Amino acid sequence: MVSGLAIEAKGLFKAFDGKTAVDGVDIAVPQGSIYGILGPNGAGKTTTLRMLLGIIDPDRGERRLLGHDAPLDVAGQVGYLPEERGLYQSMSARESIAFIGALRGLPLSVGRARAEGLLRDNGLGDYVDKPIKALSKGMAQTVQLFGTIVHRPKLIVLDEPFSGLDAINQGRLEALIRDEAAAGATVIFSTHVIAHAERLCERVAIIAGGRIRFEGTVEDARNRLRPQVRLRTRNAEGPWRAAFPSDTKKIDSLWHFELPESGIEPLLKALIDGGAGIEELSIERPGLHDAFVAIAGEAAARQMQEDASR
Amino acid sequence: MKSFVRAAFVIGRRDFMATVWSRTFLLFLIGPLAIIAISVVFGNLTEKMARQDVKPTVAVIASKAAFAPIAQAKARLDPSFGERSLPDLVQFDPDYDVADQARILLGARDKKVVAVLTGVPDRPTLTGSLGAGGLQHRQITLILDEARQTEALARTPIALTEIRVNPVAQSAGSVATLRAITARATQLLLFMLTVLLAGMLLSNLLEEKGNKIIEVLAAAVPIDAIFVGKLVSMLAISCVGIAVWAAGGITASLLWGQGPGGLPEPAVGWPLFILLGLIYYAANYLLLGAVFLGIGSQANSVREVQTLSMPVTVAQLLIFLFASFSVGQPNSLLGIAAAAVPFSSPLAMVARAAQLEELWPHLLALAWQALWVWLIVSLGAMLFRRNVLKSGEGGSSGRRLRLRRS
Repeated sequence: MVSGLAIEAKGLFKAFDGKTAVDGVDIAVPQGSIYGILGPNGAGKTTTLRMLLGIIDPDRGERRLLGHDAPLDVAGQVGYLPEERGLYQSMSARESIAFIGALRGLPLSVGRARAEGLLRDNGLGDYVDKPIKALSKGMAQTVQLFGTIVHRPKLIVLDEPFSGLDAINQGRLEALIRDEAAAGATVIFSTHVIAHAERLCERVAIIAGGRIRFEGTVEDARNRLRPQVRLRTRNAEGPWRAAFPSDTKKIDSLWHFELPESGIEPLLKALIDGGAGIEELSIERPGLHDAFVAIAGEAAARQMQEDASR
Repeated sequence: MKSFVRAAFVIGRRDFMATVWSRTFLLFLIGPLAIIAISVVFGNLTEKMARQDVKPTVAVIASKAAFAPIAQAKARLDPSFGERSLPDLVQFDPDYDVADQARILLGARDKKVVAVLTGVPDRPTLTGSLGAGGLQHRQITLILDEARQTEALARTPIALTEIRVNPVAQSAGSVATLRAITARATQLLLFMLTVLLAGMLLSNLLEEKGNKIIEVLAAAVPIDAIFVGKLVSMLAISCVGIAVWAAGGITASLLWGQGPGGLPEPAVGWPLFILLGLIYYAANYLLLGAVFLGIGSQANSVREVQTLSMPVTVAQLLIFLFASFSVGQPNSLLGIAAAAVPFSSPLAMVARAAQLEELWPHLLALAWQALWVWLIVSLGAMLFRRNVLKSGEGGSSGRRLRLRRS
């Protein structure tokens, strides 16, 4: 086992009824990091997570969770929020959280006390003893999230955790993820909303069509593309046009091109010497979305946007 | 092992508390109690009414002098036949027109006369809606013959033969007969309880599958532990029900009935027999319950579960019939087979406990039944992972990972 990794998987493969869902996935999640798995619906994110957790076994490949081949051996150190949320409807919020903690080895009395604390600290104090069926969808989701962390796991696995949450609760969830990571836990979550991954993750895996298209830091993903230059000149034409890179496009009144390898200085000199009249100049580093489009393709990016807007 | 037991306990405790503290559990307890109460309170009353309704009346048109020996003969025969066997005889003084009197008596709805006897003692004639050689015909013939024989014996010096009774504590035949009664009654009780209570396991995993919490459970604990936890909790719930119903039945019997019926003493003695009965009930429940849980875990809807209920009940009935071969002949080939087949084993062995004194077969049987519970639970869990969670055969999760850093 490579030390320092909370999760390591090599060559994971899974097919259902002859259709490949995950095709040779390698993942290495450093301990204490926040790791994102990005991809559109049907890309294989959930299947990958389920294989890592031992809910299903891969058809081929190997996985290790906190240094153990059998994930259930470290169940007490793992917290899991599945994509399809589910709680016993007649159980109270406190009992639900304590029950999930008890499944992971937390004594029930301790779980109940922590559950009450989590609920009260997050504005759900009035719902401690209310049954789940009396809570809104967002509240129930929050209850299940608390069940995921009540036993203070070393590894937190969240499958589409932002799905179904309003903007305020999404912000709270981001803060919770940062707090848990700051306390030393490793957090891995899947999402089809790139903005969350861009804000939170140190490392990401981009998955599409069951395959990992990229695995590395967010910075590495963004560095796959060169910075984009946007330029508006007073004059439309002139000898300074020869200094533009070959991929330059004009959209409306703006020139768009990648920053040349030589940097912006030679172009600036050409523009100034040629009297182009610089009215507007910006150099933008590509975002994770741009990187995703470049890595996974336009089709996958379009699908992600459609999934996010649903 | 410790974590497995802990996981099963967490699952089982949740199920137990959720069931016992629900309002529907009260209905579950009260339902059979109401049946027991009604049965005990009205049992005696309806039995008496039925006796009166069913017992036929034969009208005897004769003088009191002619009727007296007939009545005495019936009184002598009654104890040998039991209270309900011989018809009631009611005397009527002869009218001017005996035939017309007979017709009127047969037609009288309030008197419920099935036949009219006339012409006693010399030319007895039985008139009624009956055939020659029928039951009432033979019974009246017997009564009249008894009356005649008694009268004839009174005129002769022959002494009546008196059969002396030499009572013994037990005979092999009587003991075996009595113990077979206990065996059969206990088998029937265990069968009825299991049919009533084990079927609930068919739908036991529907809630978890329906509300998707199965994903949370499967990620945290082994599927086998989920199955074991549910099995044991349902067994505990059934025991709560049985304890309440038994207490209710005994109370109702003491208050309104004649007290609990006395079954003949079983071969191993009552304390050990009751203990074995409880253990075999648990074994029977766990064996069948494990099968039901495994089958029900594959069902996707309540409708599928309801469809499965009929074949499941039929299967239990067949098992009961097979186990009944061990009553009266526990060491026959069929009796031993019934004890060896896992599903009929608990019923067969409880019957054996009623009939034979040896204890070692019970230790063997219980170990055998426990092994089968474990096998069935393991199979059910494996099928659940494969068909419901869609987990196929494992990859190389057991092998140590070697990563090469590029």
